[in-house]
Amino acid sequence: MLEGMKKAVSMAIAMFMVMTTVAVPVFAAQGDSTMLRSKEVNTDELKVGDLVGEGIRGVNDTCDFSALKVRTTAPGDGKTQWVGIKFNPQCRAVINAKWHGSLEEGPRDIIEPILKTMPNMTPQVTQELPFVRTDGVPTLSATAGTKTSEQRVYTYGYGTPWFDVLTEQKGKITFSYDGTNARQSDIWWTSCWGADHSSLGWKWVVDSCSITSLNTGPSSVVWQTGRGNYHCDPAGNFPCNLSDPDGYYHSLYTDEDGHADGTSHCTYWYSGNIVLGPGREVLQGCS
Amino acid sequence: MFIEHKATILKVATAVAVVLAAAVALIGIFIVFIDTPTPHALLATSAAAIIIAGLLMGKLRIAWYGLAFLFAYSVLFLFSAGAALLRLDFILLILLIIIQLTKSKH
Repeated sequence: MLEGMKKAVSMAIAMFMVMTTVAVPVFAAQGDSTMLRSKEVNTDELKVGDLVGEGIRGVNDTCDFSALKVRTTAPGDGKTQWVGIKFNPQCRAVINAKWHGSLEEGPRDIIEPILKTMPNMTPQVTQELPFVRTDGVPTLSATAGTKTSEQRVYTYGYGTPWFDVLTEQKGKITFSYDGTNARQSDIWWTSCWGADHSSLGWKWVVDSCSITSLNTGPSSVVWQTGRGNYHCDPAGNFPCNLSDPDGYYHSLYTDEDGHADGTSHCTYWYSGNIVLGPGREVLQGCS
Repeated sequence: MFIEHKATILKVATAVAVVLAAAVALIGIFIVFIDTPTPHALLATSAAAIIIAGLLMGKLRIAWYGLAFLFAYSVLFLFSAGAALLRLDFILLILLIIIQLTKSKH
């Protein structure tokens, strides 16, 4: 471990490029005090384009980030390892460059704005700390933030999922996370819909639509499960009587969960008689 | 007797078929604009228009193509709008068969 500590002279360098339309409070790599929990990101295992943190949209269109502690291992031979992090308008911090050597050796389009805004910037050297892992996977997304996951589950007729949707259910959760806990905001809902052809003689009726299971946290995982019950009415008439038993009685279920590390999973299933499906469309999040 | 009345049968069957096809076209428009918005019902209107055109021009083959198109639509969208048209499709089928037989024995 000592050898590892000696070997690993880490240079925490965060270079921030602020998009012109978004005012982003920037916190130095050493973990300045902020209102949110500090998290460490090991950029050795990240590549250009990877997400290192996600902020919370604040008032006046600002993005509030937790302290972003960036750690990277120096390549040796007195060289410096550089990591460029860009904040985009979606309040996400993404690695946009990695190189070693001098600052001037970096991509021109990246270093010029930095030299202009921070001409006296010098890298700060820190000692390497054990990297936090969960199940062998770096906890790269374990910064604080909020996330919304939304999905749509539906059944359809022979006219394809694109043109012939018969019944549908949507589920959505918005949750905040800080690496230890997740909690649902007060925006959670599920909605149900059925194609109404009552003027032609039948319709797909929503018998009930509800959230059957809900955990708003704070806890390591929050979730909601929604259920919609449907049938084709009148059950005994054509085409509703083509199922056995009549009426195509069925239920659609959507489940969205949010974890303390900011990940989210969406699942779905059904029971009963359906024509075709179910199909699912992720509207946002669910990853 | 059939031969004596075949001209009348042909005229009546053609007239009824045109009226029915027009009804299908109107139902298609109704579905698009009044029922649950389903733009694909314009396909039914188009199919009905082809049938009408075939019948009025005396080109039965075109009318058959239109009916095949209408059947395809009705089956494909059976659970959203097609079921409402399917009965009319079958009546049109019978009428076209009558017209076809009458014409062929002309």
